Amino acid sequence: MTTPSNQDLLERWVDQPAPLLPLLHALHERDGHLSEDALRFVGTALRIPIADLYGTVTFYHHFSREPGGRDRPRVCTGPVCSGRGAHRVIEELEAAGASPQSMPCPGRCDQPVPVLRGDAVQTGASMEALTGGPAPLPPPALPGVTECVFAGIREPDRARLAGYREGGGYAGLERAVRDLDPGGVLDLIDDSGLAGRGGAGFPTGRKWRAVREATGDPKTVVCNADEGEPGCFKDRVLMDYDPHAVLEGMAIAAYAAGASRGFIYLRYEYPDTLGVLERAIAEATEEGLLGDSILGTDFTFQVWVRRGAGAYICGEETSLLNSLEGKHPFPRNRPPFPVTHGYEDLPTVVNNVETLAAASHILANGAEWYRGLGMGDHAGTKLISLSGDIQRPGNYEVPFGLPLQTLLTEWAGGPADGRTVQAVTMAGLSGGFLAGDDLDVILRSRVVREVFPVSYRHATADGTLGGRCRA
Amino acid sequence: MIMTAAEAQTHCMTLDGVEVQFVEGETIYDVARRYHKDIPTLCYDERLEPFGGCRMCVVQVEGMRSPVASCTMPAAPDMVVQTQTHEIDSHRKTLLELLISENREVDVDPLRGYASQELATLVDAYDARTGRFEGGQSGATRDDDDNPFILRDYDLCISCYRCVRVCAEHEGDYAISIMNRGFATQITTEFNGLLKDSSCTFCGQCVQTCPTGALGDKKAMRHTDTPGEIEKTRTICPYCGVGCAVDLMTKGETIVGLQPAMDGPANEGALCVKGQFAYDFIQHPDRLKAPMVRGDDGELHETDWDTALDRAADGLKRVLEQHGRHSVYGVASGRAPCEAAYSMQKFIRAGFGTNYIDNCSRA
Amino acid sequence: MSNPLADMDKPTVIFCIGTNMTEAHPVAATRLKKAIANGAKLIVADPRRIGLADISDLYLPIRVGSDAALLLGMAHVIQREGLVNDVFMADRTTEGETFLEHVKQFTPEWAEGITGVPAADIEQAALWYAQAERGAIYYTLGITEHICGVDNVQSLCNLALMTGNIGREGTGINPMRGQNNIQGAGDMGALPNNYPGFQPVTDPKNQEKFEKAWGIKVDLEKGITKVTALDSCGDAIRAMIIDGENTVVTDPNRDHCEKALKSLDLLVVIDIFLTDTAKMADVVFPAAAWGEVDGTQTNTERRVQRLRKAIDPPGEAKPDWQILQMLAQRMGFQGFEHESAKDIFNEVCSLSPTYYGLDWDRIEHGEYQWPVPEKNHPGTPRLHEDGFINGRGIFKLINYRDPAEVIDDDYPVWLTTGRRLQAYHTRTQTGRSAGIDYLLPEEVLEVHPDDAAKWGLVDGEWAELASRRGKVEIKVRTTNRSPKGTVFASFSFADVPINALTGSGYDPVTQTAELKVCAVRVKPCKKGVL
Repeated sequence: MTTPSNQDLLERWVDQPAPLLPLLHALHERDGHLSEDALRFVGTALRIPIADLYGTVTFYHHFSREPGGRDRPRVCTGPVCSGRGAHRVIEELEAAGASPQSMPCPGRCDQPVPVLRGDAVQTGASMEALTGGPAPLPPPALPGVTECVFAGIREPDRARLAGYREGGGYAGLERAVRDLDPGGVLDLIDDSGLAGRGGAGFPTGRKWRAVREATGDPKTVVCNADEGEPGCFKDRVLMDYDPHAVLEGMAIAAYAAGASRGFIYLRYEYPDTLGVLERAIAEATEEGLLGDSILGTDFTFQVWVRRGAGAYICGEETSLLNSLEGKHPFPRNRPPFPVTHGYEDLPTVVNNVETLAAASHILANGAEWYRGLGMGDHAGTKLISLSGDIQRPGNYEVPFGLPLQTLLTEWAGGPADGRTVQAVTMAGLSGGFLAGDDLDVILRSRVVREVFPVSYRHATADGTLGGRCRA
Repeated sequence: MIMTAAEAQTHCMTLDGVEVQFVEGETIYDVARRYHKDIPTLCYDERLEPFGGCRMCVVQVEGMRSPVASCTMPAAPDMVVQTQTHEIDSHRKTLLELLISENREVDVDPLRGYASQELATLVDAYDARTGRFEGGQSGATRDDDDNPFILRDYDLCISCYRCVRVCAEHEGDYAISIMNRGFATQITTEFNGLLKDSSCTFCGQCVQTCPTGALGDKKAMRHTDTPGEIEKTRTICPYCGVGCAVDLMTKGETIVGLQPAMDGPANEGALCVKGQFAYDFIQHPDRLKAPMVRGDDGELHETDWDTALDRAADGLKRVLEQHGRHSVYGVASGRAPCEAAYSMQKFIRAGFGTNYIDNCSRA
Repeated sequence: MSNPLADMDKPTVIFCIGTNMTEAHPVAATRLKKAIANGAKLIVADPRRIGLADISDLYLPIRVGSDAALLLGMAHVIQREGLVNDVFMADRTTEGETFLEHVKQFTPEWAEGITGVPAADIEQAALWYAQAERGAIYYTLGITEHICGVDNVQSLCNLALMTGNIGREGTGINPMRGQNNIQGAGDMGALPNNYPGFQPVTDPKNQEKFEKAWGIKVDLEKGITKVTALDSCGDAIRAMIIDGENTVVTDPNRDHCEKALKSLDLLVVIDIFLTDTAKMADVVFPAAAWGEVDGTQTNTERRVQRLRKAIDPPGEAKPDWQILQMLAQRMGFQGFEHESAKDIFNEVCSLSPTYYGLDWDRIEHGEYQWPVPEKNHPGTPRLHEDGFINGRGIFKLINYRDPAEVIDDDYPVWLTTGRRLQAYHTRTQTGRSAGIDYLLPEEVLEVHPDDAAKWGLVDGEWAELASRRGKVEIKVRTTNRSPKGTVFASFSFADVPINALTGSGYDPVTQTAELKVCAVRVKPCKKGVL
């Protein structure tokens, strides 16, 4: 195969929406770095001032400007991996002459220590132990627990369209477009109590309705798959094992909000997920579940995946939108909000992966069903990524209302052998630590939001950190 | 969207306890400024889109948990805003202390640029403490840029990005941008090179909008030690026909620099490299200081005014007598003031009684 | 300019032709760039791939001197596609039907043959401009410094008239004036045909007005232009007084110009430096420079602004008006008893209908754009809003003419001249300002890399550039800004007197020299051979 020229790559992307990131990735992959020539070419072709383009490229962690830089190993030095041998792995790689770099958390905290090299991720506690392989499935649900987004995820072949449909997939979308008008979908989502699962907890129905009512076309649905909070890896497992649930949720959102185009903004650190999503989009489009005339109706919705390049801030929705548009990924001032001025300044739904996947299940099973998944008065469920000094790290779908202690001890098997839980950090490092009696909290959306204002999407039980504090 | 004041909807809000009016599209800061509220800013330049980066302009809005940046927050009907409270003041002071803890110096010479005193003025006003916070430093001075106009002293940069924004939004040159992130953030050109190797046109806009002196006017800074107070004289640029208003800066009888007039009707603060930096010709040693006449030796010699005027007048009279009024021709300057051109045409028309007059516009 | 500078960020379609605005009028260009950032489309017609072309939506690389053909082709398309603004034409113009008939012969394919611009691009430009909600034309010397300069300007007027793109915000026909006060010099009546305020000297009413005002007998006939005067030096013209112009360097055909000035019985020059022209004078008066005098200056949008004195002039230098007044008094002329620039300006206002509503104090803040016909008048930022000064806009039937000199076997290359950002005119000022040399140390001949290879030229080495009128040596720079077959240089550097080569012809109406086109030959040389 001949190496594609700049012009070949430009032609591949120039007429696509949001072309900058994929074109840069293509050049990055071809050359192993982003050369001055390549950037000058892109700047001229896409009419981006060269200084701006240079500034933007240098903002991203994973775009390399040095020859060979793309394939240099990057080793996670996030909070969990730092306590699990990350620095040893770096030293070993250095000794082997591989000139490793450290990188922020790439979302493999359940399998420390991840090393990203080109498009391959390997994990292991030492250089010798590094192996590839898919991310682990969530541990089985405890008896008597009904899951929502994880309900079908352990079924074999769930990632393929046939497998997904066999398990009842796309019934939610069918119900939406055949039995309900957009207003009906919005009412259903309102009734379910579904709120943003990315952290802010904004009511999903209200967001979709705001976009529907906003003026400006075309409207857009963006799936925020840039989960970058250290310790958080829940969206990855959803996308890897149940991608159609996410696509279905996006289509439902688009139908309800009146959108015709969709993007999945995927974080750079999930290279395998990119292929899974692209395959799923192709399958769904082939079957008339995405694209023109969805399920034989006049509803049209097209989805593209855009891969980030390593920037924590792009998990923030307005930075993400700037990144998608090829701009410097600074957050925007709000108001105006994305629901009126989002992608290309047009009305845009930005939802987290988990929120969209939940919407598919809610459409299929009803609002009452979803509300009933919570414990007591609490409605719905939440994915928690659990890692650190815990017996069974991984992703858990918990009902709201579950005590944190129950999750840690009964679900995840308690602290690692020979350890006691000293402290738990939730909602990322900026969420602070819980220790002692404070651990007796109930996982419920209101409390969690108030106690941990930044995010509540994962918890890390981390005895190592606590031990270090004691020392 | 172009909206006239008459078309825009008028609403009411409460500002520091007083009900005030505003029109749709105004920010809290816009309204507050109209009502002469003294809200501090650093990243704000009224010619640019509000950025909301420095957070100095925070105000308290009833019903909102945290203070909001007034420069980016649209005024809304029935909003209740406090622009100055103890909490807001202490918030602003802490922000300033965070900013200046990173800077090598705060008090910079005013010759560095038009806005160069903004940070120092606020530090004084809030009695903020330098060096309160320790830690990483962002911005590294580019001593290697040997251009003769723009000092790039990024040790003093506070990442307000006024330079980057003025270059893009006001000048349209897009020569500079922001590279990296976090503490590694730095103002850069394409590929982090020298200004002269970028699309920089040396218009000096970035220098004049910099609120800390991180960017400095190297030519003006030659006169830092020249004795005397800086005086500014409002005049109009002597180069092209756009007619940019400028403030010529002098110390005594020495021209020490030039700054754009931010309210200049033709330029609104913009200038080009010629207008901004090419003023040394005025006090150049080559200037003619005395009249000159051609001597018998065929060379020009300095002389006094009487001699030169007589020589010219006698010559003109002789030509007039010998060849008639249509033998004398006057060329007025398109560079000198109107009064020079008027005088020249009057000299020819009223003096010689002809229309043998033109100016240099045909060249 | 028909429209104010503040209108420049408001067009939806911008048509720039013969203006290298980012270099010659950079601050005006900043406003256009704002319009573009707001979504306006930019069409650029220029032989060189100038900076504006880089940010354009449509670039029309016309052959030098073929502007009229391009504009006729565009008019043809607008007529053919039915995009004529019938209402505007009916209400505001005359001779329109004849014009629409006239342009039927000038197809875009015909225009392609002359301009070298693909017919499809000419059509696109015409469609964008004609369909624009607000279409604005900007031009500079690239349009006027031709033997057909008047035709070119008239062709632009025709386009504006047929589409109604004039007299409204963000539209208009907007020439950018090159010198700080060239507008003012014209306003002041420093023209052979007009008294101050563009009052024709041949109109008996005006003659009477100025005879009364000045208490003298005026000339009833128009004067001659400077170009004609230079041609008559040593013959009919025996004495010349030149204020602040380096004639021998800025004017075309330097050789001819020097001979003319040498043949005078008396040359008096007023200047701030001993320029090449001043060196030829019999008497040189030292003028006060910018920053040393009070006065007024009128910009390209007709805005009258005050110049203020900040420092004293050096030695015995004096303001130009004072020098002329002293000389007038020495000559025994009457009416030269002014005490200040203010006195003179107020006299101008009393005599000029365009400045009549102004006075020295009223222009303190520079908010007025002429005409200001009476005392309480707010000024006129935008011309032709309610009607044209002479009634209706008149269409003119233009035909394309070749430049005075076209390339041939002896002189096979087009030379075009222009400005560079960092240098002003002959560098009497920019050349004496510290730091400018860092950006622009020397003049270069811009040559397309393919041409350079073909002609044996090497980037950074020297070439001999020759026309029928002269030769210069110049350093070569290869660049894609120059089209193949055309080279470019500015006349800013005294050691590369490009105007030794130019001067092939003049516009018959304005006598503006065709500085934008001449035929040359280029060959490599060693420096110092000439």
